[in-house]
Amino acid sequence: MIPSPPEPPPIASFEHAAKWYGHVIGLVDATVKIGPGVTGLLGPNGAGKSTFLKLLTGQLQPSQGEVRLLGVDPFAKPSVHAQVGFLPEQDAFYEEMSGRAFVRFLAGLQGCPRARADEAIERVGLASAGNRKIRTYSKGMRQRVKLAQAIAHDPRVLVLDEPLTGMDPVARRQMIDLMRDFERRGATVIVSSHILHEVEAMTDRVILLYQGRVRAVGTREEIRGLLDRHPHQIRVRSPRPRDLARVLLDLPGVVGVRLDDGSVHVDTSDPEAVYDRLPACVLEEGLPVDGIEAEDMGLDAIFGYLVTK
Amino acid sequence: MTLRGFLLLWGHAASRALRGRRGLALLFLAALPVVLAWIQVQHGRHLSETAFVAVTLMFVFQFVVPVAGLFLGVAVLGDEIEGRTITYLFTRPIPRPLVFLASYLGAVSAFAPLLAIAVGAMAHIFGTRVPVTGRDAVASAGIAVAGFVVYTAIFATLRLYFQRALFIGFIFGFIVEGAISKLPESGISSWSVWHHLALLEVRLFDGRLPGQHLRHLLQSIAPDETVAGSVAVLATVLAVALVIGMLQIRAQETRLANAST
Amino acid sequence: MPIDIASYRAWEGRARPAPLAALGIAATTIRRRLRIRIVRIIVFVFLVVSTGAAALVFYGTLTGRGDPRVQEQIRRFGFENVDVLAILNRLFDIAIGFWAFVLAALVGAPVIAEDRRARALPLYFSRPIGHIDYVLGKAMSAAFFLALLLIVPRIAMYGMDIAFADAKGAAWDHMPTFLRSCAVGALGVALFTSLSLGVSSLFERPAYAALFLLGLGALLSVTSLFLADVLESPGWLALSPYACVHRIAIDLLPVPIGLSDDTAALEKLGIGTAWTGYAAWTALGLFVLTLRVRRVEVVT
Repeated sequence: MIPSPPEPPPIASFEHAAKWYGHVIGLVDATVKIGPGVTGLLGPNGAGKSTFLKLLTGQLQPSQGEVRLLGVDPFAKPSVHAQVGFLPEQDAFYEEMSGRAFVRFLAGLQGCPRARADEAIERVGLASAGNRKIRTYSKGMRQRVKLAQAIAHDPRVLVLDEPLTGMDPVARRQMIDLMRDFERRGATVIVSSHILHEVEAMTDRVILLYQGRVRAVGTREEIRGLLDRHPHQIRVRSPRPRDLARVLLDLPGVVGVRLDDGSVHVDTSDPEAVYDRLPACVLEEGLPVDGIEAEDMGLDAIFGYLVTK
Repeated sequence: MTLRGFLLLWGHAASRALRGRRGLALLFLAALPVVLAWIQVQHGRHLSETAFVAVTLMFVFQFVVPVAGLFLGVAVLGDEIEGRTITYLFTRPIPRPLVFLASYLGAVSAFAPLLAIAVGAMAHIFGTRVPVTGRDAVASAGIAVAGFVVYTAIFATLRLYFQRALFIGFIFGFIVEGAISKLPESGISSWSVWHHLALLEVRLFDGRLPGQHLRHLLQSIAPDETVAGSVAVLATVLAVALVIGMLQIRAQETRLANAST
Repeated sequence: MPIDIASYRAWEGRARPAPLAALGIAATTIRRRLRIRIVRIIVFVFLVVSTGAAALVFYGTLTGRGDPRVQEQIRRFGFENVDVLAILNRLFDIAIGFWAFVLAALVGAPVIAEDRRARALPLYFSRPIGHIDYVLGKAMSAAFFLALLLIVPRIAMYGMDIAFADAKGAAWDHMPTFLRSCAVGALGVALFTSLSLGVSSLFERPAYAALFLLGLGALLSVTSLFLADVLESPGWLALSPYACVHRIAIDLLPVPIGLSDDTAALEKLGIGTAWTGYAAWTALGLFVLTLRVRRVEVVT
């Protein structure tokens, strides 16, 4: 019998890693392994995504457990950063520098020649604005220059904290293409976002974080399936809620209704169908409707569902 | 790679140290004793033989050196921490203690030449009316730079411990040091940096200062205190401050990183 | 009715008129300052030290009347003229000479700088708040803290003076001096408020604004003394804002203040020059403040 080849070591790993800021919990008991390719870190604001990435890039030391990046403790061994590119979430720059000088300086600290920095500037589409001071840049340009400093040294691991913030659709597309390009070349990309469809567009594998805990790890399809099983709630206000409830129960996807003081709470697995068909139904039946609102479309609600499930 | 990064950081810190309004303020600070010396020499009715030493002790050592040290010291990594650009530096393959050291050397090397030139110019202006030699000028400039280097190291390290280091530094540099240096007979006065700078300056002019002048400034210096002793104290304070700063920046991340989740 | 209109509910309240907006800004700024531990400690120390210590000495003057041993003890504190006014004015000297600068650096210098740093100014000016409301609100917050140091202890002392006075009608008799004393305190409040806010508007980093103000105070005090001495022209003393207020206080109050050496040196400064210097420093602070705040929308 031919022995199966040993599993390659993960690019990054968390073993029961935790981080506290005094009494505030940043991350609790995180155990995950991240391999090559694009991995998305998904969670609502305050879920612990930034703490996760700061631990991964050695900016923070775990209060408990162990974090490894390319086989070493990134906090203790800064030399690992020669192979890592990091795009921070915060909008922080040496504002008086030009975009080109900024990237050249930071690439220089990685040991890269100026030509590589200039290439990165071109790659993110800032060649024409490269000599302008950063303080004159738009939000999207600021994101691009942050990206340029992260990729200038062609890192083996690219860590991106909310990279699409402030970018227009074209720039988003370019950013996603760039990530795919890194993936094709065998690099590891770890990208965080609090927007579900962004993560879906960028990644194959998803780590779900909520309230400082890793709630789920899986492929895009697995996570989507998990979320699709979650019935959405819609509240419809009307002076005739009983009549309205009867009409709503006939709509496709509606799995239940609940009456509450002039409102009907609708549980549906297909919210789009409810929004599409409701106006026609109420017109046909002559039912007055005062308002419609989605009750739990936020990620918080979806994650809340996942937690209680 | 580390040496290149170290030098790049050094240059980066030096260029930022004298940028914008802070640069103007520091230029003004360096020019101040020169202007005062010029006014005294050109328009003063009585010019004592100790005028150069008096201005050096009172303006340069007691005001310019600690203020410049405080201003640049707290900015060594303080600017990067407050501006949150520290993230970029801490995600490079350079050990954190070297980031601190390079930034410190950058700040020091930006202002030290200005300070030395200012003291030299002051000596030159006074030299036209009172006996101040070239050696006096060079040595006084060296003492001023030494004081600046020590103060900057102390305040740079303080900034790693305290967010309001500027205020704490002001209290330390002007109130604590001032109070200590005014306790002549207790021996506590030798705990101030200013005391050792004053001692070096006074020993430089040993035998050439009239006894009556600067009496109140010099009474804290004991006859058995030596130049070598003061140099050793200043060097020790410098080394200790820098080592503490380097250890602190290596060990404590939560003070520096953005505490958001 | 369309759903979007049905779900919109217009606000039915009324916007506050301008003076109240300034009060709101002042109250918020004071609360924010008081959240900083070092500010709380220093304000508390100021109040306790300035009012408490003065009250103790005052109590000594009462119990010591006619007792030469107590009088001697009081003289050891440096009070030659053992009466309430001397204590009041000594208090003024200590307070305004150093601590007013420190307090102004802590509570005045950061208030606009921190708003600029946090990019909070657009938040203010996107509401029906004018530049004047904003400046007034910030000025009131700084003045509040400075008044704690420069005016409140005087009121406390006056209260004690009346409470322990032997003669009837002391409240009325001492009123003019009390009012003059308060006027000197108010001059100090106006000067340090104006200077600290002017400096604050120049910086984006609160700490630099505070250091600049402290450095400016120290620099002007030392330089003015140096120039007045070297050039043998006491008019140079007017370079120091502290010297100007101190000289005006000597003129306004009918009793000696401060140390006799200082007083003798300051009396050489003409009262007209002192008023001019005072007005110039206050106006300079206001001018810088107005200029900077008017440019705020461009800057941010």
